[in-house]
Amino acid sequence: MRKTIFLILFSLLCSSQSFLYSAFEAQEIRVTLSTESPLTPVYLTLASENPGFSQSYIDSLKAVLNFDFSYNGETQLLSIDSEKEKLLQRCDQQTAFTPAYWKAGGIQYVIKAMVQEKKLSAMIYCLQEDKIKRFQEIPLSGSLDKDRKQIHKLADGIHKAIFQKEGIASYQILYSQQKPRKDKEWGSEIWECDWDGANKRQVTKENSYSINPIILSSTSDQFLYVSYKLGQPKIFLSSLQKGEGKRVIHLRGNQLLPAISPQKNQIAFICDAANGRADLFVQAFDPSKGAVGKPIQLFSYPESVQASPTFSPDGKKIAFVSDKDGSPRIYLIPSTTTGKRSIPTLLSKTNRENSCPSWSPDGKKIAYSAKTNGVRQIWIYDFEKGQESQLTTGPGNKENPEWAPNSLHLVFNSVDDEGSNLYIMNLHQAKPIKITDGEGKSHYPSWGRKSNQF
Amino acid sequence: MKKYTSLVNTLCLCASLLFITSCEKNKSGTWDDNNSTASKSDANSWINESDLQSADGKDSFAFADEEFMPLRDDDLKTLSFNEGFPQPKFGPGEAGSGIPGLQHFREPAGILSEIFRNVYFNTDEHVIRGKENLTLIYKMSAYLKEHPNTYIEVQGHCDERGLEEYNQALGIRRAQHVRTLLIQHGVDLNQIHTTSFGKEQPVALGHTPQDWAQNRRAHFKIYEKN
Repeated sequence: MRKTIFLILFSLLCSSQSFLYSAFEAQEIRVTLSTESPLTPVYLTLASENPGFSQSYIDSLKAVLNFDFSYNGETQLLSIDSEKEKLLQRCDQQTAFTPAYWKAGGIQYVIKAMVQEKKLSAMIYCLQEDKIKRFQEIPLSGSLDKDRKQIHKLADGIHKAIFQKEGIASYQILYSQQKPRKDKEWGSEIWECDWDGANKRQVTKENSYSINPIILSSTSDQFLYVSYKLGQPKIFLSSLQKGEGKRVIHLRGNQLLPAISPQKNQIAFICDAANGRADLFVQAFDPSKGAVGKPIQLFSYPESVQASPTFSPDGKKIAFVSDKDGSPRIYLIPSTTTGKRSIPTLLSKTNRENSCPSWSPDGKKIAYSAKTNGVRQIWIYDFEKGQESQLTTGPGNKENPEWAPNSLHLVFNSVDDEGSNLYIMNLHQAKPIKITDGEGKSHYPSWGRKSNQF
Repeated sequence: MKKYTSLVNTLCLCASLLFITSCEKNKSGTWDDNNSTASKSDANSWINESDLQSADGKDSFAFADEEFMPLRDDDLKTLSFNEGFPQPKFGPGEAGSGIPGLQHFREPAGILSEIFRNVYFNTDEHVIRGKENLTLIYKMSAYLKEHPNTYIEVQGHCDERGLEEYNQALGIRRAQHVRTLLIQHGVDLNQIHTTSFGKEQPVALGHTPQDWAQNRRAHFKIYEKN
């Protein structure tokens, strides 16, 4: 009897151990999966030797470089360590870049930037290949606004050397900033800033209400926007240098929410010219000539409102908002018509109140805003998986997401008790980074020109 | 006798306004309901384009081919009471309009400030409700018919809770609804221009239901041609 009890207890113990082991194993797998990071561990330092600038200036430059590598969606900056800093101070390259030492810390790349005699230089040490790449010296001006651009340029150069693709630190962001006017109404102008929110610059000075800026391309300084300077909202084309727009589309009524095709040969917009209804229109366009031919009424539906068009990368499809079936949702249609309304495909099915879609340049995703448990959050529709997933969480109504040229980063605006501010985030790092924090309401952001181009 | 006739006319106009808006109310309690299949297939809510010619024939609805390539779907050839009329052929300030741009339209002053007062909307609605709002519409239509050289801008505004971009388009509906009511009561469609501001121009900056109610409005500006 005792033997039987012992055997039962023994087998129970074994099975529980095996269960515990399985559970532990499963837990281990979960941990392994959850710690898989798309980010590459990098150690970054910016040293100075006879820099020709104050230490506080060097610290400002360091902060800019740190921002670029902290939020580029590809690198994970490791904490500054005094021992590593001391090692990197050494001029003896072989000692500074001892592979065994750096590999032990799980580091893949060491980036050493140096300010010396008002010049910025940099080198990357790749541990895997045990190779060093040096970057040409860049002269610094001592003006932080100007030197920021040099830092961003260097960051993008390093990014390309490591990942063989363009970084986005040199891209500008266009947005609208609303402020109260003396006449008790609200004014709004188009502004431009660096991707980290620095170097803010007012572009339009029309003393009117201007919103929804869209750059024609990252190598162009021309942009479309909506202005109320004639009373009704109309679509204008302007340049970042002149800041005063010319009307693009000569059509009666309200013209709103322009989008430009990646080929720059079509403008989609919303207009009530036909019958007072907010319809989707398309206008053939040539950046050097303006509108070409007549606008085309692309989609209209009885008693419904259309809004927020965005083009597919090949310009052949348009995603837009319609409330034709009740709550506003995202639909897809071809960007051409034979004179009959195309049957739109419903894209966003998970939530109600979907708005402001933005098609990623790689064509694989659409970002949009959707009311989620009472708060507007950014969602992504993934064409490859055919699934919608929530990107942002937390308080603040988030709207107007716009993809960066790398199809990894988004800029959007969020409204909370402090007002409306711009944020950037990327698909690899969950935390949105606030980039504006000033007076006025900042909203309707879009990625602008690449500053290196000018 | 003249007073009696005027009273009867007033009552008739008020009754017809109430009839129109109550029709809308019955079939469109909320924004979503307005877009339900049932409301769109309600044959009683549709009217023919040919019935909507302006009184003096200055504008017509056969404009579309001149300006843009229109869709030719049958369900777009008729207009409902819930929807608007086409904008005047020439926008304010454009050659042919005979009036300056909307930036020259002014806030109504004097007696006009009593007539062209804001009208307010319920949440998620674009139709006007309430005796006070309807009386204002009646007074406006009476004034505009008596003063054919007076032009108005109807601005459609929303409260802060809606979607930013979508509300820009939604503001069109509020302004167009007011314009439709005025045209239905005999005002020349060329006298009325509409502008959508979405939620871009709030007058009440708080975040209470009272503030939101003040911001869901149609606001009016005036231009009197000499």
